[in-house]
Amino acid sequence: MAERGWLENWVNGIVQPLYEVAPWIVHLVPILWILILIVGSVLILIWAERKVSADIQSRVGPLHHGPYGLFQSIWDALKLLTKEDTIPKQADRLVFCVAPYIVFLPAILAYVVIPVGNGLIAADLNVGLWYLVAVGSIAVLGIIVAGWASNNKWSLLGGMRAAAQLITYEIPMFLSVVVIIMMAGTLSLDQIVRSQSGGSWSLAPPDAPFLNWNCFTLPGMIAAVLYLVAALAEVNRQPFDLPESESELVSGFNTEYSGMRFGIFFVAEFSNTALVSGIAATLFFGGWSSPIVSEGEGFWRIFGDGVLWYFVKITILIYCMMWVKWTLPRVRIDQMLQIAWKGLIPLALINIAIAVAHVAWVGA
Amino acid sequence: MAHVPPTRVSDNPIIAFFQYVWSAAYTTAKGLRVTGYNAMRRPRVTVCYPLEQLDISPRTRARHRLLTDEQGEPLCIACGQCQRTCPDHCVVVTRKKVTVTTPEGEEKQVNRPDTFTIDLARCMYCNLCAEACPVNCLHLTREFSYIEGDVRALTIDLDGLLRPEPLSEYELRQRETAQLAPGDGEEG
Repeated sequence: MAERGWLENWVNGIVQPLYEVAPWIVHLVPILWILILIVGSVLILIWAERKVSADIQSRVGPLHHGPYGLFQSIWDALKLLTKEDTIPKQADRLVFCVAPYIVFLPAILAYVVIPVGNGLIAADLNVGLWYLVAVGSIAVLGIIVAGWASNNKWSLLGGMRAAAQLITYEIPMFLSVVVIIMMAGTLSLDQIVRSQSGGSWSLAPPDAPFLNWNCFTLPGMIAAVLYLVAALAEVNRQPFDLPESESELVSGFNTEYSGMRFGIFFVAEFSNTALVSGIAATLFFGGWSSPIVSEGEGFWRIFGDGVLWYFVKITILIYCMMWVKWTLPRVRIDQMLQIAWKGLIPLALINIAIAVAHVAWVGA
Repeated sequence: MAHVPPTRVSDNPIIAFFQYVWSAAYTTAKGLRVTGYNAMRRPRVTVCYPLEQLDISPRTRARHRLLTDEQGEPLCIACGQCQRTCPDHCVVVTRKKVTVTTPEGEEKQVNRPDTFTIDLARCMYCNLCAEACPVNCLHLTREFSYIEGDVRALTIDLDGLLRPEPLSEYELRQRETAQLAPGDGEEG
């Protein structure tokens, strides 16, 4: 491709001298990429959340800032930035200030191992999935700490609920992920996506098998559902938004937060939503692999394997999460624990048995 | 939604578990169907209020208006019935003598309002002033949107009551009855 040559020259002209002076500059590229990914997805998601909720409730939603109200979230961010930032008198100041960033941290860390496109991965760790699970449990720490440091009973109750909920739901989440490890035989997310790519809807000969995404195998299908339910709880979205539950706990763990610190909790919630749907897309729905053509010629190159399909998949998954959010009422705390311990965990264990049979008879 | 009979829970714990799972999946899917249907519904239920408006009831009582005759003169005879009957004491009328020429060509002295103010902020839109009006000249229109930055601006005077907008069908009918009412100026 001619354009590529031109672009390569251009990039080399700028990057090469910089690289010779400061070789560590290459490490900034993935960081920049992750930040753009997070900020962009959050800005769109806040708008989408409001539009989807408006749709479901037969309302119109944001309308005035930009086309279809697209710039609404930018205005929201500006509003939050200009607001007074209050810290309660009796709060533990240091912990209070650090807590929002602890909640936000895992979203950034986890994107390191998510393959967004073919080769578009910040670091392909060979223990990627372990890393994801380990990093994912940092967020709960931030929420508990936020609840404790606020010195407010509602915040504390919210933090305690978050602890109970996130510890509970990590079990079915990981048990459903184990199935994927068994079938793919690897912990590297890039390898997991590659093991799923190559299929297509069309069954076109000679070498196009049907979609070999994990969600089209029996254990993979069950695991996908279990994972998505547990993921809803992991990111504190309705119907599992017990840590926040604004009708019972004022606003839960973030009651005392205002201004941009509150905004960061908000950003963290949405980036975590994007993250869990990204993980689900990677593990169960083939990540960046295309369902139409894997290579493609001419025009169809656009629809080949690549970034496009990753974003299409997470868009669909996030829409489903929002759909569920605006459909189901919040569960009670005992129901929340019951769903996990009496529903998801037994199902996940049964599913592992199914996966063993699947790997033994059908093959990985 | 059709009424769903409560599921019978089996005594066998394993069957009961799968019944539990099934009912969870089934009821969630049912709820999603309802909201999914609503998400696709067009047109939406709400409208963008300031840009588009729904029709309001014809019996809405909002901002007051004094009717005028065909020449644009107010029909009000400044009798003060509205002021007397107003429970909120928000109507103030003062009177002046005006010489008018009747269609027969004779000159006649009649009472007309000199000032006529209504404090819309105090008014409770009970319609008693309009009912008390002996010439059916004061009435409450459907114009409900009159926002002001200062509450004092909500006190409207004669200019505010004699609106330049053309009369509605209802107001035209009202005016017919107004001219049938007992003649003006009898009080002297």
